[in-house]
Amino acid sequence: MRRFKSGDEYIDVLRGVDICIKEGDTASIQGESGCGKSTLLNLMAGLDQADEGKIFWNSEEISRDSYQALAIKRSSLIGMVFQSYYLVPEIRALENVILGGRISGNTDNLAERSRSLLERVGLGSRMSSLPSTLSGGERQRVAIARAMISDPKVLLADEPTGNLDEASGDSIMDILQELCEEKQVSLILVTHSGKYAARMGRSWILRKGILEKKSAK
Amino acid sequence: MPWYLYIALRHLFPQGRRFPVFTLMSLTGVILGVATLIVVISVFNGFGYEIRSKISDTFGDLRVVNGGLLGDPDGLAEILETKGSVDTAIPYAQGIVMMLYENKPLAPIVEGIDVRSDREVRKYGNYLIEGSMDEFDDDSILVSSGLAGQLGLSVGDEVEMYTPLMMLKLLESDGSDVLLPRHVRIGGIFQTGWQRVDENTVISTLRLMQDLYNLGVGAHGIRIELKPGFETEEEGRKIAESLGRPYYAQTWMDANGDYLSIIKLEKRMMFFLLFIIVIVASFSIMSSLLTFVIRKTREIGLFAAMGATPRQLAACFCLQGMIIGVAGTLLGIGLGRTLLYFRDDITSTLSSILSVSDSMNQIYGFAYLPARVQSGDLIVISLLSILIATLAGLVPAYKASKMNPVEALRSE
Repeated sequence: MRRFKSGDEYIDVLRGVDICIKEGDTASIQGESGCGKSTLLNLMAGLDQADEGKIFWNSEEISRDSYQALAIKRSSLIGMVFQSYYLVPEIRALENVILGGRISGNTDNLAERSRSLLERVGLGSRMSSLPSTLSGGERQRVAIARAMISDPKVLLADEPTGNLDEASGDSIMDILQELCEEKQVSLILVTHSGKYAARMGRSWILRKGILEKKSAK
Repeated sequence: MPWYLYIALRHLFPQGRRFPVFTLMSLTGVILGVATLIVVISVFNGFGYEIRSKISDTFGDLRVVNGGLLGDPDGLAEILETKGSVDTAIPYAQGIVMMLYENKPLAPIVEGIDVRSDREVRKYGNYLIEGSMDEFDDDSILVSSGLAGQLGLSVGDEVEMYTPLMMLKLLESDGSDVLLPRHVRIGGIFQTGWQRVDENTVISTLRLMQDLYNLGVGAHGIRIELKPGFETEEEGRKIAESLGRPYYAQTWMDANGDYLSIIKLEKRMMFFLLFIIVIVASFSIMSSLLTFVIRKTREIGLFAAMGATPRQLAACFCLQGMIIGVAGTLLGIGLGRTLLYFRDDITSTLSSILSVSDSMNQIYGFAYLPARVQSGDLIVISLLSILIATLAGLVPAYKASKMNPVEALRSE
């Protein structure tokens, strides 16, 4: 359960969530704006702490881990992609990807792997570009490459197509799915789009703090 | 390179973009503080060095005395000159006389120097502002600029000199004796730049002093110049030990300890006063970094989401303070040294713009602004400036490390 205080009142944003993601699984979480999808994703990523309940990574409970310990585990297990890309504006596309590897500590052949990932997402010719000179779709590709460079076990994508037109969104989804399939990375996609949710192996919908299974592929 | 150092560098010096104002302002503060400190402390060092060299020039490195009269000063000087550390050992005599010129009396200190020593003659020759050492003999004296000013003396004037011995004789006489002064000519006027000497000093030949004080061939002490590389205090102790009692050695530092400690104290006070500039600059770094942390809130959240630990996040911002400190210090040293290199051009330009006369030469006897950069000062200034700048980064670093990543990612 995750409870937030609003004025004098407490709001239980999440109160009935039971979800298990296996290696290589793809899953979508849908729901209305403000229903707690991002909160759920943050709890899964260990960025936020549940008021009640338990979270497991690789069958290991992380709910009581310190912030420092969680950060170390997170760097090797979880990759995140956000709606707003969050690239570091002061450094070039390639360096943004390399930065992901550096933070995770996965630095073997880092420059080479980063180049190869950028080529894989179709940005072979834009490696030296600063984020400000890239289009939204290109920025999201860099963000995907940055998330994948640490070889995570799970990729958490929080509305990755939310700021993109349909063609760019489709392209981003293709890349996300292909990369996750290739590297056997579990993908959890938070999205408003039924079309993209349907592309995932399993789908959930979050309503009034309760996560309900939507359908099976 | 750790990622947090890399990001710290890129935040300060981004690629392909304009130099951030934050970096520029913070750097400027440190550069100005360090450069000012270096210039002022080096000028203080220069003044101190020049004054010390003038003191040691007029006093000698060491003086060997026995508290009374040396009966055979030449013999003692010869013994001292056999010592490996001693360059020259020259007898001297010192005392007070009453000097009268046009009914104006003054009681200066007279130092009798041995004109057989070329070095002594040359040394005072360097300080002459009027007259010549060729005019210096047993019937003439050199007077300091202050003394000449007070009595209105010029080269060639004649003054009367009375010694305490003459006055004693007069007191002991039955009243029939007449006190006859010694008439001497002004052979030259000197100015060393050391006020103590320039105020009230007369230089005579040793023979004249021996005559005035009825010393015979005796002297009051031996003035020693050491060879380069020998420690004055250490050699003084060794010489005194080798001669045994009642001889002892007085260094130029012992004799002028109060004056030298004032110079040291002034330098320290200037250091602490000017260091305030660096402290003020560090507050500018802190406020700029705090603003920067707020601007970069989402980025901090992103780094946390990517697995950055709170310590790494803190290091990222603390290092920015340190990098500003290091870069500002290096540039400050460069600017400081450049200003010191062109100091004479700068002072003469300022003097001409402000229509100020060359008071430095008049007061201190320096034709240029003395400066000496000491590596010890550079190290202390550099380390303290870097430390203060790094400490300035601690508060923003703490703030960054304590940020809730979820709230940071949500921030607008």
